[in-house]
Amino acid sequence: MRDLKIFAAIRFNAVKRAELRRTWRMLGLFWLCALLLWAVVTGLAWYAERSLGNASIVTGYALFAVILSLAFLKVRKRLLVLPLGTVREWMLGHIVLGTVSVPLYFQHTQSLWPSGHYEQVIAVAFFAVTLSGVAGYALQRLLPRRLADIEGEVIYERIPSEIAQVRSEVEALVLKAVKELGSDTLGRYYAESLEWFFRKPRFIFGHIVGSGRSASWIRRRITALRRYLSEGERAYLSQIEALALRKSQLDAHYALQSVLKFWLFFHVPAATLLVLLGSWHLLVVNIYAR
Amino acid sequence: MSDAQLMERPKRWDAPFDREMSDAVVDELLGRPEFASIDASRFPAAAPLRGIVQNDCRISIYAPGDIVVREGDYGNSAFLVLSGELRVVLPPGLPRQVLGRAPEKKRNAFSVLRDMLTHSQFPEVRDTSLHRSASGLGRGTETRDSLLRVGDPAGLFGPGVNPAADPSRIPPLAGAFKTGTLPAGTLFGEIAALGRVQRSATIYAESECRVLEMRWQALRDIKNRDDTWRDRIEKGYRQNQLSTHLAEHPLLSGIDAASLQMIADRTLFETYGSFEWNVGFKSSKGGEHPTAESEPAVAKEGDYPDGLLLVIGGFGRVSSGLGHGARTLTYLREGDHFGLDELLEAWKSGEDCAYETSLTALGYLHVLRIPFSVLADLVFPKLTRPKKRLIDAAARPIADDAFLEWAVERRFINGTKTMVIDLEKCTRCDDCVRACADTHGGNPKFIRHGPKLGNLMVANACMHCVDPVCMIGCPTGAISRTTEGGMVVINDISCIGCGTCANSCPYDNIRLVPIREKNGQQVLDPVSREAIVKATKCDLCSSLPSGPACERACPHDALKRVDIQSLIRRAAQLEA
Repeated sequence: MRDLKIFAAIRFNAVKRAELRRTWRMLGLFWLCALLLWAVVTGLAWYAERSLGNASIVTGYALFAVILSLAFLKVRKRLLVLPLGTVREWMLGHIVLGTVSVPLYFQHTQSLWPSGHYEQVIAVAFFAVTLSGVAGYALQRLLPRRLADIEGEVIYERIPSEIAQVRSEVEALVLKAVKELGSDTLGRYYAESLEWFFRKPRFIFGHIVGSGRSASWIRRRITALRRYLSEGERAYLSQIEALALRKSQLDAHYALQSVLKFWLFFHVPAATLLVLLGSWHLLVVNIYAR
Repeated sequence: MSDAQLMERPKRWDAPFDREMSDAVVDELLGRPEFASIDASRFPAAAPLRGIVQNDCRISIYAPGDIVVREGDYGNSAFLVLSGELRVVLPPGLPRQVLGRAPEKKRNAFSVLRDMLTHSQFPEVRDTSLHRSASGLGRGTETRDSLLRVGDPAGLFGPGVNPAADPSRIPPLAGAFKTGTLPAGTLFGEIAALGRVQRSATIYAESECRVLEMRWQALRDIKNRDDTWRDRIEKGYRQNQLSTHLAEHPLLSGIDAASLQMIADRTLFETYGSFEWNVGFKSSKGGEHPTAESEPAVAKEGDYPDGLLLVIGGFGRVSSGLGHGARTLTYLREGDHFGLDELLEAWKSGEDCAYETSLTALGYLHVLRIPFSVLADLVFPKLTRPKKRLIDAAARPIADDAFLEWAVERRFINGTKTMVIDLEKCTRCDDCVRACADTHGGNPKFIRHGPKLGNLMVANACMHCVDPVCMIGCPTGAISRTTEGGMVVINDISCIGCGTCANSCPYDNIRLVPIREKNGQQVLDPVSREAIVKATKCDLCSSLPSGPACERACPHDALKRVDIQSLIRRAAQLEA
């Protein structure tokens, strides 16, 4: 017989906790490996310096290897069939290695801002990738919770057609109201004010920062009109208000999902640029070192 | 119409069970007493009896020792013994290693990789030459597992016995195994085929046997139109379920064979609700789903119980009254029981004790009712009182009911591999969809969208149900369970695109897609000029060695393929 602690189970709390423990164990292992790697690199660099060698060769190669490993996350995502762990595990490794790459960078450059022009370009690429990575991590932790709180779920690519659907429903309502009640107040107000809102996603920034501007705009516009309407028109206005709120939810989805999608359009090209610049740097250093 | 290819619309018997079924064999079968008594005029012209026998049946010859069905397998066909003798191994059955479970054919990583890199730029491309000939479904060269090839014959037949000594007959199994004979004329396998459940026993050929294998569609059509077959199937169904379930039920584990037989003699077999529950469920979509009050009642709170109910199939909702409605406390499925708390109380106190909760059928519910008097004599004296009562669940906060009520109301409890997405973790990156497309020739098999409750969303991906109602109406048997694992898969070659499965699926997880040639041309029916469509759905990457790609691809651990019941059990264990 099923255990009667079903209420605990249906909230997935226990399962969630178990998964969290598994994640922490895995993270611990990755951190241990990363610290070990960092310690080995630091040790080798120290040894190279004591032997009158060049420590930056050691840290440079290590940094480049780490950057390449980080870039392999993208490749791993496409080659899922190979038995090399789940993408979740790779992602955790990506985060840990990404963090380790920062001290490695400073060990390699010995400064925040290198002196050579080419090295400065690499530094810009490195900072761009690092900062966008940190920002992406934060966004991926915060925005899904905000999205989950919005009533209804919509696939990003379907948002324009959903908005068009809402718009056509509102326009049909306005036309019906004008035709049925013989007053054009609602129609005029829609054309002057509301049509702007229903035309395309609005209050993008407000939705991203969670300001609630969209909802208050709708409330203000609806309240402003209500006093000029008859009882019959007010019933239509209530329906339009419900559709406006639905549109506002779609806008919120559009805004938040856009951010979640488009930060990668910055992070991935910057990372690609960093790999290319780093490869050239490695090549040049090796040629002139001889 | 230059951008389209023509292909005759697939029909039910384009891919017969066996192309070698000659007219003479069909005549012979129709002349046998089992078929001769059937009134052929009761069959429609589109699916006549002769057509069913010719196209949905095949004859197989089994050598002594060949295994015909294995315990635990999922099967889509029933068998009629034409000649020879078969033997059934009764519970506890043969050891797993003896059954020699051959692994399902898995593709290697490189073949998947090659497909991924070379897949067509067009959606839903098919090699229509395969569909035109449907030759992939011929009998082929099947290799059968045999008891003669087991690694340890002494463990099976006893020391010193050579199982291959007599080529015409296999020796009896060692005394430790309980077996029974299935002579010519016996019908078996119908429970698994019609009930969409696992085979309950292993059956092997004792002498050379000629066996008629019938697709479940054939069995269904004949059963629906002939009373003798219907009675025979229902009688066998009742008898076999009864003995198997009583013997295997944990509540009756300490009972000796004689007492079990006495219990079996007095036990009633009851069915509530409709076996094809999905029809009513689907029509209520978008509106109100059935509630506990509107479902077929099995036991009502406040009534007096007269027997213990053992669930042997389907689902039941346990509820108790709350305010003006009924509150779902839990649900029951195969292996669970109902009414024990009250009956034990009555037995101990010597006074009547009313049901504390109600039981209703969610769709359909098969139960065995063991009368109180039998329990009092044979079971209760040996039974340890359970620590918890069903009604204890009513003590939890009402707010915690939401997920269970939702899962029961929408029948997500039916899924064994339900795709549940935690929306608080999901970044909507669609890596899961891309991974699915990459492993299926560029065609994703699910939609990352579906009903939502709080932060959980059940996506439109096949749930590989305990009770796969999508299989009910398939005219060709294209949709079936895999032998191992019981995943529900569609054979694209024999699918005729009739849409029955898609219409039957209560969760809208099967889609019909127009197919294309490799050059991108759409495939059309030459007569109607309508697109040829095929049913498509998640196959849980059953041909991949690495398991479902969607789950492995999620970078945030947001997507899980879960059996909600297992999840509940696991959570309960962890809480404990």
